[in-house]
Amino acid sequence: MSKSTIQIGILALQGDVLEHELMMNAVLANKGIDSKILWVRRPEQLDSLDGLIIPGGESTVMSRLVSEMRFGHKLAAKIQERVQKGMAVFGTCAGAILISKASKDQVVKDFSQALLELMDIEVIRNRYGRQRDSFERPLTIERLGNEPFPGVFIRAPIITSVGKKVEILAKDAGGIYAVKQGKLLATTFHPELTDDTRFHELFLEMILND
Amino acid sequence: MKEMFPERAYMKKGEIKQIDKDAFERIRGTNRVKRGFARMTKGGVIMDVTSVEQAHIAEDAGAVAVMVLDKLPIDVRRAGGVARPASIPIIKEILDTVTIPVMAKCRIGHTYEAKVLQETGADCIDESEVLTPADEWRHIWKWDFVTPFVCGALDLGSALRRIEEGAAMIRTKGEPGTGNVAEAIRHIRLVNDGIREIKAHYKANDTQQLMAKAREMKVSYEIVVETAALGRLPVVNFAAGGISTPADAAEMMLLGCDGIFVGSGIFKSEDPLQRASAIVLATAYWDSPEVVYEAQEMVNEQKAMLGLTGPEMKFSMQERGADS
Repeated sequence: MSKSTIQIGILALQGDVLEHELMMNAVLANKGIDSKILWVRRPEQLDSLDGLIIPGGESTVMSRLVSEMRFGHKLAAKIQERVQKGMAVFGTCAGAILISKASKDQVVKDFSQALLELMDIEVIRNRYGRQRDSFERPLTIERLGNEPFPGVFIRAPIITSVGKKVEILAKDAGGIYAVKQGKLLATTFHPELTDDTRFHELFLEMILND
Repeated sequence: MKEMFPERAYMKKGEIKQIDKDAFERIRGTNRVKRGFARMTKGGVIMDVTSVEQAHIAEDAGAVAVMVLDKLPIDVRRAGGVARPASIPIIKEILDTVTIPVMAKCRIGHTYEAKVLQETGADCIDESEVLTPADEWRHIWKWDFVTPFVCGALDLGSALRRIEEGAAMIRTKGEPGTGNVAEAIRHIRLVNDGIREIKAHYKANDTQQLMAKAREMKVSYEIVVETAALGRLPVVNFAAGGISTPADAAEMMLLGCDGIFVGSGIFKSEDPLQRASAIVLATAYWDSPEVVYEAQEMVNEQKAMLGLTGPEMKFSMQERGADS
C-alpha cells in the first residue's frame, strides 16, 4: 500500500467519531502521511477507503442505521463487500459488537440485533452491568510492548469465544478484550478516550503492510 | 502527548474514584468514564418515556437512550402541583427490559433523590427543571456520584456552573412541553455566542477580560480558559426542550449540538414510532438535507403534538432552579 494514497474513514452515524478522528489524524501526521480522515455516512464514500473505523456508541442504533430499510441507506452490504475486497476495519466497543458474528445481551435474554458478521467472534453486550459499573484498568498487551495500555470500559461488552483464525491480543481470567483477525481489529474498550495511540498505530500498520 | 489531545486533559480533574478490591483493580466513577459515557451518546436521540411500552418503542425506533419520568413535560404543566421522579418499579422494569442506557430525572438540588436513583442502577441522572426544584439555593454536588449527571443550561454561564458542580453532560433547557423549538434555539445560540466571545479574548491573550468574564459568569478562571481554548464546552452538549419534528432535530445539530433529547414531542404525537424513527434518521444525517427531507416526509404534521403557548403554558420551566 502506498503511503500517499491511503484513505481511512470513520462510520459517522452515531458515537464518539471526533475522538477517533483526532487520534487517527495525529497518528497519520506523526508517520508523515498527508491524509485526512473521512466521515462516512453514505455507501459510495466507502469505495475509496483502505480502512474503516467503527466507533464507540450504541450498537443497536448503529446497527439499525446501517442495515434497516426504514432508515433507507444500506451501508451494511457495502461494508461487507468492501471488506471482502480487502478494506481493513477497526471496531471499538459498539464497533466490536457490530463486526462480530453473534451477540447476546447480559440482561435482556431474547435480545437480537443485525450485525455485520465480519469477524469470527462472539460477544455479550453490557457484560459488566450498568454505567455505574463502568471502569478503567490497565491492560497488559504483549503485542503493544511492556507499557500497560489504559483500558477504558464503558458499558462494555466482552468477547466470549473466538474462531481459529482470530489472534487474541488481550485476555485474562475475566475474558477477552482485544482481538485481531487478518485486517480486522476489535477492542471492547475505548483507546480513543485515552492519550495512548498504540492501537491506532497498529491499525495503520495493518493497512500499510498489505 | 497531552498537547495532542487537549480536550482530554479535563478528565483528570475533581473526580471521585472507587477502586474495586478484586484482582482486576477496576477504578469506577472517574471523569473519563462518566464523561466518556456521554460521549458515546453523541449523534443520537434520547427519548422521554413514562412506561415500559414507550421504552420499547423508543428502543425499536433507534433511541440512543431513554429518559424515564413520571409524566411527560406537557402533562406536568397540565397537572400542576409538585412534579417528582418516576416510581422506582417503573424505572426498574425499564432497566430490565431495554438494552440501551436508561436515564432518570430527579429534582434540582435533591441530593438524596439522586442517591436513590443511583441505587436503582440508572445509567445517568438528569437534574431537571421539568420537575419541581427542591433546593432554591443550590444544585446537587455531582462530583460525589459514580453515576454521571446531565443538567440543563440556558447560556454559557449556566452551562459552566453546572460543569463545575460535576455535570458530565449539558443540554439546553429550551421550554419543555411546548412543542416550540424557539427557546432551545435561543439557548444554544447564547452558549455559542458566549464561547465565541471568550475564544476571541483568549486568541487576543486578554487575560484581564477572561477574568472579567469568569466573574460575570460566576465560574472559575480555569474553566473559562479551558472552554475558550477548546472552542466548545468541555463536555457533550445536547439539545432539549421543544423539539418535535425531524427538521427541528437537524436544526439543533446544525447549530452545533452533539445530540437530541425529545420529550413530549414523540409520545404526545399520534405517530410515535414513525416520528421517533424519523427524528433518529434526521439527527444522524443532519448535514444531508435530502435525508432530512425523507425523514420529514415520514411524519404527518396533522398528527404532531399541538403543544402549548402563552397563558396555557402556565409557567416557564427554564427559569426554575437556583443559579439557573
